[in-house]
Amino acid sequence: MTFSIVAFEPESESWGVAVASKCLAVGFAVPWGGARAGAVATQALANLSYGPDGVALLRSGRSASEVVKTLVSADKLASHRQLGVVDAKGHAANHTGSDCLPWAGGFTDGDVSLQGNILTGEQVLKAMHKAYRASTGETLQRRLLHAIEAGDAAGGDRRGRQSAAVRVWREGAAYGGGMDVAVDLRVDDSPAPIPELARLVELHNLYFCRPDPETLIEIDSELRREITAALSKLGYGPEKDFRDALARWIGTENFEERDVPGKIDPLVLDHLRNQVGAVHA
Amino acid sequence: MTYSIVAVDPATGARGVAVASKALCVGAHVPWGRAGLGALATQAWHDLRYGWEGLALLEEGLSAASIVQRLTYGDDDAPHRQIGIVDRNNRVASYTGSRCMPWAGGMCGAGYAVQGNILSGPQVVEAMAAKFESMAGEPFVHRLVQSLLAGDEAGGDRRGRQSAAVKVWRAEPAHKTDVDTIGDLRVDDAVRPVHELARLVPRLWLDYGTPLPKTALPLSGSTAKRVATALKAKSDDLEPELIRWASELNLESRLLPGRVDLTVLEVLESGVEATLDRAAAATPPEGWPA
Repeated sequence: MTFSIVAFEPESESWGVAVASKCLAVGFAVPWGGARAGAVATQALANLSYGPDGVALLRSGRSASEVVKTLVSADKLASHRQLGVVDAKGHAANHTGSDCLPWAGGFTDGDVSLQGNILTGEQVLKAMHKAYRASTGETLQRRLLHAIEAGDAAGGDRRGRQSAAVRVWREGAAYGGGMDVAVDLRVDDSPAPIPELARLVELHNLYFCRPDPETLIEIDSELRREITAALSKLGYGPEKDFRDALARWIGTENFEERDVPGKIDPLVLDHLRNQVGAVHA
Repeated sequence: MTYSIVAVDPATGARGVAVASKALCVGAHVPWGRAGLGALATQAWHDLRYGWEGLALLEEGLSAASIVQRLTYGDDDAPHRQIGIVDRNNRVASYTGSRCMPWAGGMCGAGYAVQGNILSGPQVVEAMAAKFESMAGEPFVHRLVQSLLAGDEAGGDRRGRQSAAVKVWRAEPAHKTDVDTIGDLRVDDAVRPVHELARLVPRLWLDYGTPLPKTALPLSGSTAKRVATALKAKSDDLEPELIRWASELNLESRLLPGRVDLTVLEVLESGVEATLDRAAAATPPEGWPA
């Protein structure tokens, strides 16, 4: 029914889950986690309570293998369940019940757990693992996405495609800085959920990530003229001062996280130019 | 930026939020709730702190109005915030800070609060309230999404459309193997997100709904014949074949031992799409997620 990857990334101190399935809204059921606690994927004939209960156990300091053992041993239908866990220290463990529909299985490698059921075969998980390891240096959400893309390309769910999701937890990471959910993106029902999820991951980067300071462009007098003209065409200014008009447009477009006074993010500038282009097209 | 409805279902006690916005993945940020405790929407220049602190205050048993006071007290940015809340006793409150971008405002009725900002005008929340009130007795998740759709059709967010979501929490915390939500659908980035959300609602009913034991038919006699024909069954032991077929289609939640739910029979004989079309066109069917 489903293939997923659960991972801890030590470089960014982040935990994440990505998942794809031939079912409606897989992202509501499978991925669970918390910063400095760990992450859980619960699937197959999913025992959804494995999610919140697993995260509570992880928060209390249990290891991934203890969490798997605790959840599975208390469950009469454990042979139908599949579960992947990565704990606060980055140790991984998983469980595939003997009654999960074939092909079903999983494996762990250090800080990563891969698992799936009703797959075309084991090669799905191997391809996911390889893609994850090959993408070190990219953001965790992109690495998890690459794993899901590789699993899909290797055959994926043998019944087809419907939904996909990615979630990442990191201390103080959320929009506004008040929470631990760094990324939470879902495609609930689509003929091509994985390319659609990839599109969302890039949009998320644009809207919610801070700009790379190296790439910021100083607003000199020439650029200021261009931006003023662009904003005015879009109905911002010129009665207000330059900074005010730009801030208002940035607010309307939800680019607050990329707003740096005196400078402009190249991704934001591209968006502005595209918007003016669209108005005139 | 956003318009939402926060409400309680008088029939079941379930509470929910439906929301739409010209922002990416609004469903990841705005709706908060807990089974048996209440639900809230935090929006405008929103603060996620309002979400988890709001839940903690709901747990303490505070009223919706007191929670608004507690959250906004001492918050310098309170004039930029907007919240809608339904509490554990089904009291509601809607708060719009004085500096939310126009048009911004909200209103409350029995068991619901609607609010929005950067809207095309007050007619958006008025249309949402009117729609919600006119659908008393209909399935709750359907009612919430239709209210949102009325807001969209009345002009919605004046900057445009991007995402929508609906989330419903049980009246009481779940037992054993389940979670607290009985409906959780999101459209994170689409040209017509609210229409797309409305398209998903019958799918939620089909895949996560419950069987109706009263009208279910015993898996014997002529019903067994119909099932065997539809399944192209190879043996007389139909039940394992039916279970296998149902798990391939994600219809496990509709199985009954020794009997066949009428919706299962309908899908068997006329297919998923025809069943969904009928469910979308007719008076909303029974057997919603519970």
